[in-house]
Amino acid sequence: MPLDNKKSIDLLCSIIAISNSNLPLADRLNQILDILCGSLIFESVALYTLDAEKERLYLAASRNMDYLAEIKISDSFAEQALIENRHIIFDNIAAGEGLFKDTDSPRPAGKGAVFPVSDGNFSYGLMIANLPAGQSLNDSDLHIIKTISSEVAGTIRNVQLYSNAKKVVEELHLINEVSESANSSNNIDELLQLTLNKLIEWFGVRCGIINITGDNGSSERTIFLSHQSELAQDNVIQHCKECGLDIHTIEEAVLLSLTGLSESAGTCPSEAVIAAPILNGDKRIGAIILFGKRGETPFTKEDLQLLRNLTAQVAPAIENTVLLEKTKVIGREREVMVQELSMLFDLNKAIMTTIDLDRLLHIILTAVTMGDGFGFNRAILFLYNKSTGYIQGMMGVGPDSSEAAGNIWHDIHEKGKTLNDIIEDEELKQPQSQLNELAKGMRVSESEKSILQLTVKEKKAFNISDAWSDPRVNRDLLTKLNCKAFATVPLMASGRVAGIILVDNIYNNRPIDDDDIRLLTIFANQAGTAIENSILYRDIQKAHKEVKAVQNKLIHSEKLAALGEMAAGIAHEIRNPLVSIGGFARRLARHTGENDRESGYVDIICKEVERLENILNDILVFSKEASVESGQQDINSLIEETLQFFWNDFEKCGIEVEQALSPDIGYVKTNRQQLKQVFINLFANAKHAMENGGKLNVKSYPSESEDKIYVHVDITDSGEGIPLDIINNIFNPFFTTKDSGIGLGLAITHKIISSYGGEIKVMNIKDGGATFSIRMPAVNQDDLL
Amino acid sequence: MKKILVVDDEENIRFLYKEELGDEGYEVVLASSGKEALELLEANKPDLITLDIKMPEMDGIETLKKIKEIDKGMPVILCTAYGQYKQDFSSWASDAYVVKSADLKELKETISKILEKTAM
Ligand SMILES: Nc1ncnc2c1ncn2[C@@H]1O[C@H](COP(=O)(O)OP(=O)(O)OP(=O)(O)O)[C@@H](O)[C@H]1O
Ligand SMILES: [Mg+2]
Repeated sequence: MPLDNKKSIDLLCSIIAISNSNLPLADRLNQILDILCGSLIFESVALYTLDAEKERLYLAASRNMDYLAEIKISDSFAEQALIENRHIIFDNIAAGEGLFKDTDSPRPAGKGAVFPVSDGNFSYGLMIANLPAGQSLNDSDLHIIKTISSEVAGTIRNVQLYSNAKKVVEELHLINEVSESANSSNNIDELLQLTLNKLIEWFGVRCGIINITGDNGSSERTIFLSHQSELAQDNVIQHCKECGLDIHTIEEAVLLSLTGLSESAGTCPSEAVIAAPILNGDKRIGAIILFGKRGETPFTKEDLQLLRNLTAQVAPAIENTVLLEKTKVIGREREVMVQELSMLFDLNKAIMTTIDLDRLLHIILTAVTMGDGFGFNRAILFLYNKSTGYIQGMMGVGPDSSEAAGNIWHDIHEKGKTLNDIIEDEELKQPQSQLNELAKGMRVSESEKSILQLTVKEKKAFNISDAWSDPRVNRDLLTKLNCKAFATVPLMASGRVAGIILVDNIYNNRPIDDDDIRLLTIFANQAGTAIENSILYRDIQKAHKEVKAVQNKLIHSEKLAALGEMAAGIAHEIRNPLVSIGGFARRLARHTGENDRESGYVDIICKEVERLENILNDILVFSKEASVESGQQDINSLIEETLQFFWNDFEKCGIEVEQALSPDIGYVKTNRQQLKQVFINLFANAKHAMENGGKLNVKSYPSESEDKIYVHVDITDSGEGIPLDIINNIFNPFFTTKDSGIGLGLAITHKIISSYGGEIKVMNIKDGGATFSIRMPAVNQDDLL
Repeated sequence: MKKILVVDDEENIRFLYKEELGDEGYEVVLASSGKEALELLEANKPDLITLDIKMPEMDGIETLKKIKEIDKGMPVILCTAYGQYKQDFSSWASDAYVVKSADLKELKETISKILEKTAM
């Protein structure tokens, strides 16, 4: 039905009005089609719009017939119409295969027409129609339809431009929002969460995963958000991996439709997947996967590009945050380390400069229990005695009850007392507490099976978390401690165990962790050395005291000796006259008559002399010990002195004397007279053995064995030697082979030497003659000081 | 009559011993030093010798040794003003040891005991 001019103008006017209205595009298109059908130009009509990829035509609106929802652009008529930008007239619309839905409804008859929807530059789609039966289109009809379709094209273009502009603005807005939130958060998890949330919202998906690869210093993170509660992160990641999309290796942005995903429903929400690596510059720092687009619209290339842009936006923020986190962690570690070190340093200084054992132990235990120290609730220190094998509790520090614990901690907190304050407290001695009493009562012998002995034996710490069921822990200890977890750490001193520190957290039940043990072990090594030093110092002090006492006694006895010597001297001088006085007085008494006056006088003299003699005896008994006083003797000079004495005798007998006296020998502590007697006896025997001449060799030298220094004197003659059948008897008293001998010389010699801790031996020498060897302990050099 | 040689450097003591031991019925010979005692020993053999320890020049211990060298069997009683030599091994060689006292009872008893022994 050809349109007249007026109709044509009306038609165009109403179509332009609709085109420029504010109605949604679909409404406008529908109304335009209504008008086209109503004006009886077309019997039925459909409008297809070209997709962004320009691959498909989608049905946007249709009238009076079931047109297909989608037409491939490769269909020859569509291609002709679009590319050549011209209309095509079919003589029979029914021949337009692929235009209509395959339904039972009758196919339209009559001519068909396809018009490109184009503004002259660009095609936006196709308009397909069939004409009322028997009608055809004249040139003016075609002209009007072309005008209308360019009007429609304009409408579509405007709408598309508008929505594109809107989308770009929204995208920009999103990018801005994402990067803003990315930069606003310092917490990497929060940042990833925020970002993922935004993306899920934007892309309208049900589920998303962000993975950030960890490198040294920062750990790998994965954030999983899903609107489908039955989806589990690990399952989804695993499933994607099985389908070739490994979140750990995504290198490029991909838009995928993973087959088979829907079959394992519950694992993966949808086949539609969009994924992209997160790249900071060229560096891949992670990846993102989005699933399950809601609504029917699939992911587009624009979506992919947007995802790329977005990931590029957030990447630096993520990287920065990771770095920040990393430095924070390192910083925290450093801070902890510095704190630990400075605490250990302070403690070390304190314990190394503390020599008083009680004080030292108290400092150590305070350090172990203070909050700014190691913060254990209770601590007990044991010392290990290596020679007896006993482990002895020395001190315990800690509150006696949880109530007391609360008070003490509160107190410390209130007063702001620090470990250093306590270390510097001069009054620190044995603590007054039940725990301390308990600790001091603990004693474990070597044979007892105890965690304490185990700690000593294995030289390592034990962290007992379940004490009551641990077979290594003996009940006895447990009932005393009454705690369910504790730890023991050996106190090491130069590789040996000096003691044990036992700690627990009986009141706040804080578990003892590896870090506690590590730090405590470092401390225990220092503490062990300090304790050993302190014990050494104590021993030295004790020894020093003993030496002082002995020295005092020595001074005392020296005085006594002097007194005794004087008393003895006086006694001798007094006793002789007393003997005469008393003796003659007694004679007088016998010769005077009983009743003589004189007899009374003489009795008085006798009695007084007796009294004086008794006094003398008392004095002499008192000084008897001192009378055989020893002194340090220079053995060489004594030998020379004695030899001098024998000079004439030796010359007479023709005895040659050879001396080899070492100047390095020390002193011996003996009575000089007695030692002289020794040499007199030996030289006398030598002289007797060499009556017809010979050679006497006297040699002195020092020796050392088992840390003791000795003085030796060897006296060798060139006589006949000692017959073997008597050699075992010569030291017996009264054994002699000489007519003039008494046989006491060697007996006395032997007795004197051994009474000073020395030895005398005899040996015959090959070419005749005998050697008498004396060995005496030398005076300790320290004793000389 | 038993002969006793008294060796002492103190004249008064010698005099006292001579009187007292004389009263006991002994023949008493006196020597004022170790040297004199040894000389007398050769010429005038006593049955017993009392010997003071503390004497100038040759002391009692030395004299004792010399005496025993000359006559091993000679009984010798060491007399001393104090107990020091009791400890000394050299005095083993003497037959007895007596601390000097105005009361000569102990000395007299010791002499008679030793002489009884040697007489047997
Ligand atoms: N240097 C020597 N050579 C050979 N024989 C010796 C030597 N020294 C000691 N004797 C033997 O050991 C014996 C005991 O010696 P000892 O000195 O004890 O007594 P003594 O010399 O006989 O008498 P005295 O009591 O006067 O010393 C001697 O009689 C002698 O037989
Ligand atoms: Mg001899």
